[in-house]
Amino acid sequence: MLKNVAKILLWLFIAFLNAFLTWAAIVLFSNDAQELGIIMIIIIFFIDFAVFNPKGYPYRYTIPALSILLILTVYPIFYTFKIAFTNYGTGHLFTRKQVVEQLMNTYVTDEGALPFSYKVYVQMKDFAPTENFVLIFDDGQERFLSQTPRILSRDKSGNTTRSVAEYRKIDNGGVLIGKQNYEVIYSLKDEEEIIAVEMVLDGEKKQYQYFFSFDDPDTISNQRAFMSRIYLKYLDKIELNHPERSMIRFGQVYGFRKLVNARKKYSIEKEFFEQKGNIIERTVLVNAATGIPLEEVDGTFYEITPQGQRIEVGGYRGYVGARNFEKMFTDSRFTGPFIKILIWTFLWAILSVLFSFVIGLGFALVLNDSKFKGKSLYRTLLLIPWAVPAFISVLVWRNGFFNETYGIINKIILGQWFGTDAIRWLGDAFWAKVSVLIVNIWLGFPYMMMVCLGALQSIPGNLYEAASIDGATKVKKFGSITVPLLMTSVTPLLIGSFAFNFNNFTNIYLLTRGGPAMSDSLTNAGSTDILISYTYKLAFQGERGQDFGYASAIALFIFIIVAGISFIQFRFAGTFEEVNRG
Amino acid sequence: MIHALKHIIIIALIIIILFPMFWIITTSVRRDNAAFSTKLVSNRYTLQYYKDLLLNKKNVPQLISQMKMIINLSSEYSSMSKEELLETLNRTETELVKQLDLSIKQVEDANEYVRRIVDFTDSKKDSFIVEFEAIKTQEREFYERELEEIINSSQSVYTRLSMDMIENIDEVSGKERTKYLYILSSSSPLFVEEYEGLVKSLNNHIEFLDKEYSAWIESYGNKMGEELKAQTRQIQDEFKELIKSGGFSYSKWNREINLKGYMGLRSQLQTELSETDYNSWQDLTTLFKATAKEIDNVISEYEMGKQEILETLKSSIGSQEELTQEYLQLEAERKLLYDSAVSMENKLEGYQLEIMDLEDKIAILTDKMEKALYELNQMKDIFAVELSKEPSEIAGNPQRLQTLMISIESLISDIQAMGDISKGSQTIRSAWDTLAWFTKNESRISSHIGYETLENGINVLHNAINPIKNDIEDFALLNERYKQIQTDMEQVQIMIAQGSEELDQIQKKSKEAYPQYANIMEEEKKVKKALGLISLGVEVEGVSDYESLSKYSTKLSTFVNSMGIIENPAKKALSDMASFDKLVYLKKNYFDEAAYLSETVLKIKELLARFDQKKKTYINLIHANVMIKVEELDDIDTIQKTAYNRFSSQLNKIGRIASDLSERPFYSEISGDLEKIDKNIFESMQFWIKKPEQQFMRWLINTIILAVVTAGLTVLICSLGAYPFSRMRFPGRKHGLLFLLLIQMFPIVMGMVALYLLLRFIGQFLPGFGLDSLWGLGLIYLGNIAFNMWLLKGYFDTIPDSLEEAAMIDGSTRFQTFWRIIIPLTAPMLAVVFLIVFMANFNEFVLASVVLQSPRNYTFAVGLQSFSYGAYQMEWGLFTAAALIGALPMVILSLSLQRYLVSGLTSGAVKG
Repeated sequence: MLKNVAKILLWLFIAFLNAFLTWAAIVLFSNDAQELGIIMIIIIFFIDFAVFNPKGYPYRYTIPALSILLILTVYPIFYTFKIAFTNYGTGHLFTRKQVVEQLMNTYVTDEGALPFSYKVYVQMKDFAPTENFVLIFDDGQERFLSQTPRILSRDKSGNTTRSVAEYRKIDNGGVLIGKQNYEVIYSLKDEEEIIAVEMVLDGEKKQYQYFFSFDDPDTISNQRAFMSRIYLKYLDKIELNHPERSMIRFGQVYGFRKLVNARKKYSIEKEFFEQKGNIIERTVLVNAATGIPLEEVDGTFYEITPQGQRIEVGGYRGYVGARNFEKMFTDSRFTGPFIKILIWTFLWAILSVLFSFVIGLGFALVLNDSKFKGKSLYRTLLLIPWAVPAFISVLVWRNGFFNETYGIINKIILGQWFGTDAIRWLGDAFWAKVSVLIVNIWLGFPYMMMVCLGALQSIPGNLYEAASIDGATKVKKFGSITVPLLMTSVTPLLIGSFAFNFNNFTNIYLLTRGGPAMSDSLTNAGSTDILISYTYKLAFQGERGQDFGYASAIALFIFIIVAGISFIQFRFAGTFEEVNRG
Repeated sequence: MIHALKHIIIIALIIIILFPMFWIITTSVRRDNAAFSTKLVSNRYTLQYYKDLLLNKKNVPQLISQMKMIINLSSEYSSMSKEELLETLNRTETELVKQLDLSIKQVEDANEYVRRIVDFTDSKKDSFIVEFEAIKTQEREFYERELEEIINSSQSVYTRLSMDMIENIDEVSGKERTKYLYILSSSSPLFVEEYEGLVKSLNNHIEFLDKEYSAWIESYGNKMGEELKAQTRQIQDEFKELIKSGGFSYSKWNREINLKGYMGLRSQLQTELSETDYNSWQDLTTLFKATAKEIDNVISEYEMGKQEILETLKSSIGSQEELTQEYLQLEAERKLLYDSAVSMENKLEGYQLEIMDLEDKIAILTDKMEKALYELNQMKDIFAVELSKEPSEIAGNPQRLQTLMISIESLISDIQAMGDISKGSQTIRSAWDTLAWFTKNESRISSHIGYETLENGINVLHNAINPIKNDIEDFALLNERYKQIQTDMEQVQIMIAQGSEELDQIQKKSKEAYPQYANIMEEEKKVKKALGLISLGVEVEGVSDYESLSKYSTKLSTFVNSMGIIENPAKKALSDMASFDKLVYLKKNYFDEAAYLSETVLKIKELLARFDQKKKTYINLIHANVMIKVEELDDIDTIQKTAYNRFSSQLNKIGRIASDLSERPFYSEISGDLEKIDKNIFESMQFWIKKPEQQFMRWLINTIILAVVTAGLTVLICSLGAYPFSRMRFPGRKHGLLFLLLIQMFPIVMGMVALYLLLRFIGQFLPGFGLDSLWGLGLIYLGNIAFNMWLLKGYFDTIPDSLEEAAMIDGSTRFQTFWRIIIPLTAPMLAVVFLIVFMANFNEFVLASVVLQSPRNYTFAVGLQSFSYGAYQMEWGLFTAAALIGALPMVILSLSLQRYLVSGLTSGAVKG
């Protein structure tokens, strides 16, 4: 009985999962994410195969692992490949559709147009303003009234992106908008001044009271309510329409947002052209004022002035072929820094491994003496730099030790004890490299020490005995027995350590942020940047614009190098045999 | 032996290597600000940073700003109801009052210790004077020796000193004068003789006057009233005093005593005395007058003698005076030249700035011009099209065309007159071209103006030309200025070049003259030092109690400040006294500051009470969206800020003095009290100082939850996924293993761009798993399972199959054997994997910094990084405490798992 219930529940769960994943696949397909959609479909088939086919039993265990690997490991690798061949980045963040939409929402105001002055009249409830309001504005001669706007669209965070309202001229103390009649009430003191607006809704009389105007210092206390409840929500992106007159919006006039006449900058037209015998339809944007269509090159829209000048107005992401790789290797502005960084990355990984290995081996040789008392205590103490999380130690070094003015190396050790000049640890290219190396060796030698200790202990003692009988000196024994045997077991680990340091982002980034900056670079490359930190800076530090495409291309390049190193490592460690054996 | 050496070397190396750890620990408990201290370690300890991090309680300034935020409906308070607002406000207020009281209490608690310090200072005061009395003679002798040395150093110094003494002798005190005369007696006996003669002669005159006056008083005194008698005596005394003081001159006497005194008394004496008696008074006055004149003569004679002696002395040291004068003149000239050179440079710089400014302006104008030009060119194109047609049959309006042409022509001539402007000339040139086109085609245009397009075009052209007209004028002005500046600049440059030549010459001359001048200056300095030593020697004599000792010590320290350090015998005693003076300062100021603190608290409380009465109204108002200004809170804010500024300098100074003194053996008796004062002040100030905003606890909890959940899921998914690879045979198994091996080569960090974009995409549909969310980050961390699957497969392989086979024979399913047998057997290994993944994710920085953006979502690593950049870079106490809290558990875990972490297989996963 219980078993049956469990079975039914399981079936229901599978059904639900199928439904959910199918929905997800559809959503993904409709959102320009076909690859992820395909992965979803693969997962659905895999699950159904594993669950319904008796032969699929072993695969059931791997469902969660496989799904995660597909989505979070395989897809990102694929995606990195994909964007490496696009111009994705600042200025090319959106799809063509989105950019066209953006351009279609661009408005121009007439040069030197006089802004309307306006007043806001609000319905009050319990002495607090409601969001029911009308706007009265004038151009110095005629006065107009517009009703409470309708919000047409909002963006994801809930900000209004478009709202519309009708406006009409005030005639004989009243306005008719649609079926709604608004009556204007003038002040008794000043016949020009409108103090309220009245209207009748569902047989009930509603009054809009004068609430706020930028030109009226008496209403300044209502400014906040106006801005938060009315302006940002209804007016910022409003289109005020009139059947015969120009559209009115809040536009930039001398840098301030004012109510002015406005019109759309671009109109959309269809263009047909022939390609390989087929007629292809394409949307073209046209400047409404000059009638000249926008030019589209490499994912960028250009406006062409009648003089033939090209002005960039927007870009979308698109396929650019191997241009990012060309940049890396042939464009002199990018190649210089890239080569420098590449050389430093290798130098950094090699020097880090070399020094920490030599120091670690030194300690290991001392501690490998079984007669040496207290060695386990020494070993534990020496392990501490490795045991502390790297990001903490690096920050401590950066803050407390290498700071130019306050760091204790400059302030106390150099300044007070030796009385020498301060060193620009992080500000000078050479010293910055020295400091990242010092910290990395400090962090890395204990690991090498442990590795060497393990390797040394695994060397059989009778080899030394035999050598002693043959009359070998200590140096000879070290050179002919210790070193060769040690190296065979340690080499794969050294290679692994090299691969790790090749991508040791944390040390570089937290200590120097890759700086000091290279002076002759178009990108934000720094003297201590390694490839991975350079990638990070290109992609996420937008001082000079984000460039996901170029960053991904470099990531791909790193991948090729690391894969090569790993392959060698596996060969040394015999990992491939393990696959074949198991 | 060798072992001992090994031990020593290895211990030394360990000390160096672990020094950063030692630094973290000591810095995290230092009370002073380590970043600005010149000491490596401090003796003032506190656990305050740990408290701040773990409890993160708001203190006074934070509470005040929180109240302001509530009343401004900022951030999280904007959505609260009236009742909630009131409630929060009340809670904040209560806490504020509590903290204010506590801060006062800390200071008041210290009163007791300060009182003990008062007792101490009172009792110790005398010990200083006793100590000093013992070395007083030595001290005096030291000054004598030093003086002797200067006098003997060279004849010219001696002569110079004598001159200075002679010049100043009338102004110094009696004791110093004696000393001067003593020294002068060997260098200039003539002057001593002269001076003594003067003193003698003055004394004689005084004696004579005294006698005459006494005689007169004797005969007439009984005829006068007592009051009048006293008055005449006073005048007499004043006269004597004036003579003795050394500043006597006849005119001064006549003005101050004769006219005001003797003359003033005349009428009174006339009425009281008989005529003969009065005449005798007049005789006496005449006598006084004559004597005064005589004294005046004596003094001027003395002055003349003095001048003569000075002249002789001066000539004996040669033309040094002139040399000095010459040098100073040269210097003045040099300075003048130098200043003018600097001002020229400044002028040049000003010109350069103006040129840049002008260029900017021109660029703006050019921009505008370009727009107008654009319109102009458009019109030209339109016109050109029209002109290609047949001439119009309809007659247009030639009038408008003519006016247009006139203005175009005037524009053209304007442009021609303007000449060439380096910036913007291109634009103007092409404007000129276009305009010229219109004039060239005037006749054709006039034959075509019948066409509507041209009619309209002319209107447009009118409009287009107007801005150009204005701009051209501006252009011309700017151009003129530009040119002028350029010529000015050239001139200035020439002047600078000339000036620098002259300056070089003068500098050369002044350099040559310098050594002699320096020599003279050196001597002058010695003379000044000698004068100071004399004065100090005299002062030492007068020391008798603590106050005079303190005065002497102050005088000595001013002398040391201007003359350089001297190694006098009482130096140690005096520096002890200087530190004791600090204690006196502490004692004197402490109560003032304590009173100021309680006064401040009282003021704040008063304002709070006033605020309490109005707060309901305020809340109602803000809820109705009315902008209000809460003066009470603003005032509290201001008071708090001013008070803090004063405390932070005054009370902290007292605390520093207390802690400095507590280390010295002399104060061992009260060192406990001093330390407590320092501690109480520190504790009290904790309520007032501005503390950095941090959400350390939140970061820690975020990280722990994230790491535990991801590690648990990783272990679960990996053990499930690895099981069939170890136990079953199925198609694709081998490829699957290879796939795992290949995929784990790709470090997850390298896909950061893709992962970032993936999360951004996911966030559009599932905001909880998007960017800037911990769950999104957790998702990425889960992607790191390939390696662990590989690892666990290896572990599972080591469990013999026979156990499972036995269980299956007993009828359990495959899953049951996995769950009931394999999992329990490999539990220790799974725990290790769990911990390793936990650590890896706890320590992960790169992806966290990519994904997380708002501080409230930070993980520990990203949060700690924010401590070390920007505004809080120097908050070392907070930073190291946070680092230690984060590092300690990781160190313990790492050390206890070292066996697994160091083995070759796991190396790539966590550390290198």
